[in-house]
Amino acid sequence: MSSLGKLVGRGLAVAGIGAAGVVGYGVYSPVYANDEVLHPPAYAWEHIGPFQKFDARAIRRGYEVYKNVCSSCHSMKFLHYRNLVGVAFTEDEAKILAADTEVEDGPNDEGEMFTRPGRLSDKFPDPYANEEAARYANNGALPPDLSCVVKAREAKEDYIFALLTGYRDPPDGVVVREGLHYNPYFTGGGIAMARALYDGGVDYDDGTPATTSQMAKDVSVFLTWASNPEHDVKKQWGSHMLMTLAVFTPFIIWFKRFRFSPYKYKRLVFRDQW
Amino acid sequence: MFQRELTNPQKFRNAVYNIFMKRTSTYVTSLILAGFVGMNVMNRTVDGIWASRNAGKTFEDIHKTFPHLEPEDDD
Repeated sequence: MSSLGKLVGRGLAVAGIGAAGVVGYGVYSPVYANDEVLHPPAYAWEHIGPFQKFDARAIRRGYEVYKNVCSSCHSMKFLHYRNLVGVAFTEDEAKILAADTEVEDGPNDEGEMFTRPGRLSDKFPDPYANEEAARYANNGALPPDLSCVVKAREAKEDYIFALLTGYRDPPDGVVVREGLHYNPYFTGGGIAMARALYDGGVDYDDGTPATTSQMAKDVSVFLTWASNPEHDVKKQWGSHMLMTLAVFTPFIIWFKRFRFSPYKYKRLVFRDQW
Repeated sequence: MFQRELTNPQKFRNAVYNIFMKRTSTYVTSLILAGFVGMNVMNRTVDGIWASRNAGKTFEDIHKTFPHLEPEDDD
């Protein structure tokens, strides 16, 4: 009975049980027929995969979509202009973007509040002064803050893309109440937000044709970055960590067995006498 | 005492021991140096894999497709 054989055998058994658990979880998670929502498909994002970073060009285009289309109703209160530096814009470009906005600051020496152009340290501007103003302007519905929206939805960026491109006429017999719009990917079918993305809605700086799906894809990647800014660094450090483990693990296993070998070959015999 | 001649792996292991591991000072020094070299090699390998698989997507390449933002002139 080779001890190395025993070790390999035990390792394979553990791996087999683990694999069965993963497959079971993936294949057998339930989808109920009375779910009032259509589950979005899994799209082939460019940042999926163990060695994939975000596409910085998509983040930049997505920021343009957010700025021109979404920011009139949706805030992103947890993002600052400095967060964009080194990700999609250089420092000077981010300063230009910030300077386009007006920020209330103060009080000054006379005790008055004043407005000044934005700086890198300022947050993204809030379209409404408070929640009541937001609800009043949107038929009682509050447009959610988008800083962490991708993390906050179960289907993550697939949901955002499907929702934005999913507006269609309701099927026969489905009635959506006045003020709501039909979207099968929104629970219940009726969403307060009207369709926002139409072909040609945005003029991209790099000349990409702005179709609905292109804009939806770019803004989804931008929002995914906003929710997970650590994504690229985390994955890359993960690679370093796994590589180091792969190098050290066989040595550690061998070294432990080397140190324990005297005790493994020792045999204690109890004699039948006092 | 007479002894058979050493095999090649034995000669190699003896040489490694005599050069690096006989004295603790040389052992620790060689360990630290090997750590530096190993870390360097691993960093270059992993970063190289990442760079080749993400070519064109990173922030460093962004100005190949996007023009620099200019401040708008207000007249």
